[in-house]
Amino acid sequence: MLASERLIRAEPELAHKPFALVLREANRLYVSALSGAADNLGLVPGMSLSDLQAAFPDILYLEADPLGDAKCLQFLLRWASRFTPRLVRGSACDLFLDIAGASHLFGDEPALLKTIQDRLTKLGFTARVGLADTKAAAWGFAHYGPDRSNIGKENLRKAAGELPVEALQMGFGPTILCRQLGLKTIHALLALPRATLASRIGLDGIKRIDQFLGRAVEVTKFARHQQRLVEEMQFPDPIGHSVGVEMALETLLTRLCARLLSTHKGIRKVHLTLERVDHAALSFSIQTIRPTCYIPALKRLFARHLEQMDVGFGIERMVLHARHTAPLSGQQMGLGNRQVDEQKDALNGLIDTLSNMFGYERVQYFSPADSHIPERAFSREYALYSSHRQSWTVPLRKRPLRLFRKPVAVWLDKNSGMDVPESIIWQNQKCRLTPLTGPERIEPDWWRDDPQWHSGTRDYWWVQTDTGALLWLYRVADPARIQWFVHGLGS
Amino acid sequence: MALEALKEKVMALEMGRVSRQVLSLDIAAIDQALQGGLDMGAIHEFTGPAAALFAQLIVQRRGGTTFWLSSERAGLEYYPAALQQYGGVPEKFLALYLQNTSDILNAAYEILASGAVGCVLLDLKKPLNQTQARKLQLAAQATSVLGLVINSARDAPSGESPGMVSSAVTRWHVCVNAWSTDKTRLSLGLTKNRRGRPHHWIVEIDHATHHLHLASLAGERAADPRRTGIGA
Repeated sequence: MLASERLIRAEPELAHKPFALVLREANRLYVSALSGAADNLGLVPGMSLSDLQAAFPDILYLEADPLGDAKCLQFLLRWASRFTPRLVRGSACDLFLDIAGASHLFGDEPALLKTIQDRLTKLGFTARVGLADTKAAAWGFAHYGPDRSNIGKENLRKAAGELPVEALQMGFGPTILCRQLGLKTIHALLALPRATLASRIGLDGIKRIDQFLGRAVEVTKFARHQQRLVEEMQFPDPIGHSVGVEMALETLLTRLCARLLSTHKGIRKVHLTLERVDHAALSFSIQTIRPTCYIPALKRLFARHLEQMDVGFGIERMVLHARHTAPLSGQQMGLGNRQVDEQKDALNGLIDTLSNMFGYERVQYFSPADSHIPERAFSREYALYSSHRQSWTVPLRKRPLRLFRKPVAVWLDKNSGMDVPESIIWQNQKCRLTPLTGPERIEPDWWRDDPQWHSGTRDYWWVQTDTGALLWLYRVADPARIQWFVHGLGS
Repeated sequence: MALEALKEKVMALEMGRVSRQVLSLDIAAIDQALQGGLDMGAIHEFTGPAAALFAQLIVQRRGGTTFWLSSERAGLEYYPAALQQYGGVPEKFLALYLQNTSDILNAAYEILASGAVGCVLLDLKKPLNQTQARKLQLAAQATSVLGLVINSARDAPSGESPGMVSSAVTRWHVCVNAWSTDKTRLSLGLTKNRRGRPHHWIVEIDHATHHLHLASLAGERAADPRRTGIGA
């Protein structure tokens, strides 16, 4: 079992001990997987932990890690790409390999099956392998057939007859039904007339049988096979100095950019991992606003990280991975106005630097938004990802130069009713007000529940203070509780 | 003429530059007080209730991309939707929200030194101290970027408090004097001037053209620190 063998691989001393992996589901703790030694004791997965403890009070049990198992399977998938480029993960612990046109590289088909199984055994995994002309049949033979079964097209129907109905993967309902009807093998199932069968096990069941026998197509989407844009360097002696790291980084960048340039692509995001002698890994990533292959600029973005790193006893391996690439735009190849381009490049470089220094979410452009609510009339875009600029329209009424994120309540020294107060306390100062324009009524969006606008309709005024500021003041138009707020400044 | 040229040269050298580069404000009196105009590649401070409004005029005259640096906790933000009403270009306006003042100063240093933008607006609660201002000045000196520091909260210029002597080239104290639908009248105090004496003017901004012009020649007197703001 993958889950237990994975643990044994990590901790070899577990190999001969019976142990169980326990998973919590709602309030129930149950055994999700068993080690080989525990399997021999007659335990079965699915039994509850209390049953297990009743039978074997001192058995070792560990917490299962389904996510780690999935990762391990993903690793095996990548490992298996040495046999064929077309492969995909199935449910549970299944891997499907399409070896059409690949088997001769390993001798012949039986030799390939043996190779796969032997190498997996060496890795510490017990595997059952099966080969057939259809994906469904391969699954059935790998799970229920003889080990390393290699079924050709001509004897598929005959060999399939021996398998139990579970090999068809028809789903829980139809399988149980077949069992209850006494149809234990595929042979028994195929002996029945198709029409009656369809009414029993449904069209999906019939389709499964057809897929099994190659009479219907089963579409498989293979794992996307990407060219991994990785460059790495292993040092015979660990490097303990940042100059060495920088030189190695330059070499790696040169290699990576050469590969990218051959396909006219540039780096948008690149990840650098430095593995230290003590097995600690330092990793940094940088992003750029435009795809680039300009090595000095990329190096400069890394420089800031490299300055702060702690090399410890030395770096023994460096891996550079281009996580995100994009086609180089024509602009970069020197078309258009040179001076404008240079200035634009300098600005883009600056945005890159700032985004990498402080976090890309902190550098923002603004874009217009269609709303009459003042604080909703614009939206923010991360400069690193902002694409196109929409054009702005000038608001019809005077709007503030600067806006308060949250309107600031003002203190009145005396109640002025519905009129603009004569004086307010603003920034710890008593100011006399001169109303300039107003009122302008702004209604909240009734379809939106905005906590800031819960107080309802607002009447806005522009006022000038005797200290020399222009305030954008509003009154909550609730006659019972009149409140005044400053929403923005015009100065 | 030789003396004039020499003066220019000395002024440039003082700022660590080869030649002086100035931004004319298009008002003869002000340009004269600044010996040609506002120095580019330098730090300027703006105080008083209308500091941001006047800084916005400078930004508009300078052109180019503008970076606005502010603390992420700051409650007061530039309002891009109305920037055009004040002569700004929202497409060329970039905001950078940072955690603390030291990050703001680091970022300002980086932007000033790159020379890729027109102006850098720094919104700070506390005025810059001598070291901070010097560092920014050094970053800017090789470029033609304007570093504009806005301290709205800082009040009337009561002289420079000890330890707060900033090396900004100019410091302005700006208040709104009067406002009508077509123009705003500002009381503009040049409270620190490395190029000459402090001054005080009353200027007007035309809302349609965002153009600055002198409102009253009578206001052109040496600024009295105790007598700024309205009714001066």
